[in-house]
Amino acid sequence: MPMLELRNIEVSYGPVSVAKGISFKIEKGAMVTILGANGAGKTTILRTISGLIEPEKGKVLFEDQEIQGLEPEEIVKRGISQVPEGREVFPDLSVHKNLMMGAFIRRDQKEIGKDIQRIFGYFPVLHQRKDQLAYTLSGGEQQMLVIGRALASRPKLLLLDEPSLGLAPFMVKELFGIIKRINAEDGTTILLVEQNARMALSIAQHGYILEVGRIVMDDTTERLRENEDVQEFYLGMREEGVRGARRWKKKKQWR
Amino acid sequence: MFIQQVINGLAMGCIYGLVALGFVLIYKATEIINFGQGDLMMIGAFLAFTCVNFLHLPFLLSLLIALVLMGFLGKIIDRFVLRPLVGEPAFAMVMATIAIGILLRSLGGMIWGYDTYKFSAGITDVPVRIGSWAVSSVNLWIMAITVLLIIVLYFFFNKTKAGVSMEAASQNQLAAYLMGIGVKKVFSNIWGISAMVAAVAGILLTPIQFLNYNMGFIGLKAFPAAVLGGFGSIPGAIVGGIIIGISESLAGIYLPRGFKEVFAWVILILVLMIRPEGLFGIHQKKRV
Repeated sequence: MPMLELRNIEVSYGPVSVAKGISFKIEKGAMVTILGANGAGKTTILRTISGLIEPEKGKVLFEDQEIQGLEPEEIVKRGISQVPEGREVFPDLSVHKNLMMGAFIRRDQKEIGKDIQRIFGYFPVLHQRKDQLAYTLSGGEQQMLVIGRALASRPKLLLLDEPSLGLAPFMVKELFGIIKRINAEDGTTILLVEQNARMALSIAQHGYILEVGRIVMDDTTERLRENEDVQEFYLGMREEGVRGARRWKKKKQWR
Repeated sequence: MFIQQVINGLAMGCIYGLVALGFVLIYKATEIINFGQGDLMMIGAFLAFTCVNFLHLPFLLSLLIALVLMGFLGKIIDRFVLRPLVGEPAFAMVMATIAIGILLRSLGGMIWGYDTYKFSAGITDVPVRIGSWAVSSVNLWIMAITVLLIIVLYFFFNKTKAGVSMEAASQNQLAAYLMGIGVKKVFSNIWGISAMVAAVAGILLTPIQFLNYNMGFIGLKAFPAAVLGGFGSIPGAIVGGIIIGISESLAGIYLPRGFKEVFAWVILILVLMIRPEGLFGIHQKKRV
């Protein structure tokens, strides 16, 4: 039984259809990535899972129960935590209070304290800055804060929306290292949505490729990395033809 | 004379500040400007007045009843007027709050009549000597209760989980949803708290002004106070209120007749021209 399953999800914003029948599964303990260009529908999928959007058709099953259409707070309580795109911190609260808000749905004070210590273990810089207001942090630190905050609810499934967006390359590397540890050490299942395909394919075990509202490929990341189309269109590798020119007219095989 | 006027202005300013605080709490959380805040203040004062004068209850009990009822009234307004308007353009909300204000004012008139009443809110006016000045005890009470209320609100919004979550929801609604904070519940509670603050302001106002269905117009003067403080800042609302109160009171004696009434508006226009973000303007919210 997969931990999360989407069955034929369709979402549209007004007349614009964004998700045209999306289905996929995530097994417990796995790290899965969804790759796709701008406007492919990645964020829409995450928002549908976390209850910010109600799909027109289809089902979202979490631990075998339908959760589509529930209020976001109910979905957080069931153990899904989303890190939204773009470092959505609480700007005028201290780092520590931001983390406490992550644990808003929990009542077990003692365990919350322990979990926050564990989060400081992953992100030591947050510990140094725990009394600073969140808006004074750098972009990378804010990204760490929102990931830490999402972990404070002790989620079974963590949804990450473009954690690398706008970060310096060394920061991206560090962040992905920590994401990998969260998956391996805590056993938290992770769904990672990324544009940085190279990084995402190197840390996840399974990948889906999304193009304009449809899933067009579904394979292990190892095989995706080998795939010609993925190499060309997502990893930016050039294949030199006999004449030494790039094959501009090449079509993706899934079209 | 000067000191006297400053103290009178300070007391009046505290009341402006409390009404402005009501504006600010609602604006910060919901981005709605509640033009009915002054009328909520009137209803609050009349509720306490009814409990004391008609039901012959002790003052503190009456205060408590008025606060509880006002809390409910705030929540009811949120639930039945503003929640159905979520997602509508901002002017729809503004119109709705103006309508609430007029409705409450007419209701007040229908229930309590159009006369002016005297209600001293359990505070007797005795002159208190501090050094060489005589200060009205009413003014001291107003200041003390305002300070107390601010301390309580500060503690609530900074130290309690419920309060911090309201603060969080006002700062970033999307993130609040994702933390499992019930944003609708937060809005409802904010309306409740705001109506209660209005009631306190109304009750404090009664010893210095007569009770009348029209007293909500004072709320309009709290508007410049909120703008001066930087709409969206809690300390700003109180400081803005005090500045308006004192300058109005001084304008009353040092400037020609009529200036007292318009002085708040002169300040409003000056602030909007010179420093539109107010004294405690909000910083850049987000890094991109």
